[in-house]
Amino acid sequence: MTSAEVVVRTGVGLHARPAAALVAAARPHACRVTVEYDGRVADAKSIIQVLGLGVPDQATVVLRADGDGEAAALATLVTLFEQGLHRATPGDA
Amino acid sequence: MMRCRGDAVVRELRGTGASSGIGIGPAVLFRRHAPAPADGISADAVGRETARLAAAVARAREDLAETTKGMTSAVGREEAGVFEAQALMLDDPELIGRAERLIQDARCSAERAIEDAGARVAAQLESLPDEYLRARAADVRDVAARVRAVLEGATHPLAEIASPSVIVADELLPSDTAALDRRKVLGFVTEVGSPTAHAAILARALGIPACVGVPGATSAVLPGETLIVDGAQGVVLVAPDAATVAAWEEQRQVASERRAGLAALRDLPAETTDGHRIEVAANVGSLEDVAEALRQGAEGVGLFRTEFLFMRRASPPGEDEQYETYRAAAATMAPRPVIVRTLDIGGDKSVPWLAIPREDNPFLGLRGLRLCLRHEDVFLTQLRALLRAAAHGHVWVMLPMVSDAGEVREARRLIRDARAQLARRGVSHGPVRLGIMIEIPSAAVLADTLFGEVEFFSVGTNDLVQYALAVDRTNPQVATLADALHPAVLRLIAAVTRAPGRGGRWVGVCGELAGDPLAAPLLVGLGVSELSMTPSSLPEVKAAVRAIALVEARALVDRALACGTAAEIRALLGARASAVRSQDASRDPRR
Repeated sequence: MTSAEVVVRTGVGLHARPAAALVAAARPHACRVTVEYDGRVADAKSIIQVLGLGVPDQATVVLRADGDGEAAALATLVTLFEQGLHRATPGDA
Repeated sequence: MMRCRGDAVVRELRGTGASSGIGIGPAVLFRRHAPAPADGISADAVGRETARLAAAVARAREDLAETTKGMTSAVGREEAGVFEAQALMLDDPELIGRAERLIQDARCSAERAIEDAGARVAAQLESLPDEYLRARAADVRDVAARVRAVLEGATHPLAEIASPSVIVADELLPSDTAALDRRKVLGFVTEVGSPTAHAAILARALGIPACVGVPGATSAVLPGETLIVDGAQGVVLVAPDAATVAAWEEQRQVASERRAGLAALRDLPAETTDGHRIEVAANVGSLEDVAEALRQGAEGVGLFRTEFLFMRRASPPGEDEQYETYRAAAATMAPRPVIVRTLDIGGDKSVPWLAIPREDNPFLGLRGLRLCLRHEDVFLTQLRALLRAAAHGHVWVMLPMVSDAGEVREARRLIRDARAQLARRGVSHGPVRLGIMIEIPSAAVLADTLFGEVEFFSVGTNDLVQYALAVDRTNPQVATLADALHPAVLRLIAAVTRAPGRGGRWVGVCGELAGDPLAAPLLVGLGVSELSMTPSSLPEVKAAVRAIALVEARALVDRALACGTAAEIRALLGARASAVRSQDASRDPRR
């Protein structure tokens, strides 16, 4: 298992669009990925669990990856957090 | 109510006649307000229900992807983000996995499982202190409702009627009748509803006998029992004996022969005895109706309801799909005009893909044009489709629920935008006439200020009656007060047709009143240009117009406008009708 601490810098916390970006990025990875905040752990592949953490902006969370390709998964997600959890949106004009 | 006839007991139910004609056949019961089947599916149904759930989730995901793709900058990134989150919820083990477990462990139906799972997950989110997250609970419920709508769409009970039957329901909504195979309906009986409610209008459009406002109908009738529906008198006979059935069957034959006689009027104009001609057109709600309109001799489509394209689906139809439908209607009717009413939802018509917040008074709320101006992307898509269809026939665009010129100007600006968008894409489009419905009394009162804004008017009497008389037409307690032959309604129509500055401005009538042969002399006398009605009413109304002189009709209007109540006007028209009958009992309307 590998883990990293990251800070949520999205302006709105880990809410709809940033949460969706995290979940979409986590799902393709085979390993188990979790987010821990304030002593609670959410499956990073479940939008409902991630939203349910209620992570505010500027909060520190712990990302954990466990299983096949865990290092790559963690690296991808850490980069995503560093870039502010943006994701290209299809249909944006 | 029981009635003895010889030694046989005939059970008789009474309501309001909503569509005349006699229908005889076995009953099929439909309770709209019954809860979804709770649970208790059998062990071998688990696999089937799990598969149904998976299929519905897949379908909902496609619909949602379509919705998200159609999102433009007009709605903004934030809105699109909500749909993205919803799409992820559709794959979320927290929601879907829970629903699957409910099917396997608690033996729930797929419908109940997704609803329960959605409710539990939503409750978890609602318990959080963050207001934003509490709002996401609504997203979870919406996702569950989408899946449930797909499941129900696939198995709507009314979609599975095997043989021709009489439908007995507590209430029928537009989404229910959309599921019906119309060829299998011999009659409608509903507990609630008025003659102007959706089911009644549909029944008249299809020439299906209907009684509405029949209290307790779904408990008084057993499935499969023979019913005789007398849609003129508002009477339903339950389980009649063979002799009664035979007697009514004979009456039914006579009535249908009379209709056949009227059909001979098909190719004759609606012209008064002194040569004043008006147009007669059809109200349609589907492409099938357009074909029926032509068969009944319609000279145009006076009201093309576009709602059928938008209902019972998880996302609104795209521009191409709408264009194909409008193009087909315009091309079928050409060179006759097709008046297309832009999306008229809200009020008693809702769609699953647009969350309209609950309103205490939906008929006074965000509906018709008001709603379209608030959802510009939906409106612009429809306008582009209409402009494209206008290259293939005469398309007149009609705006519903206009209260004054301000809304018309906003709509006109959007039509310009839609045209500019098509021009930029290099897509061919044609000219349209722009008009409004007169259904809010303010628009009738302000008619002279609207002449300069649009090219035509059409009076929608159903809503005009509701708003002028303060009568909720879906409320059976007061439905009988919703009489379109009320002098206040006629005066409002006169406020339009006789407004100063009308000149040659085209004014049609497309509400239920236009299809009432009794009212035809009044509407002709008021100076309307066109009457648009359900296709099945065309022959009777044509016959009524052909039986009167314009001078006589105008004199009748003068007397009607001086009346104080609807009853006085009905007495006036009744006296005239019987005088005409005794004077000239043998006059052939075909002359």
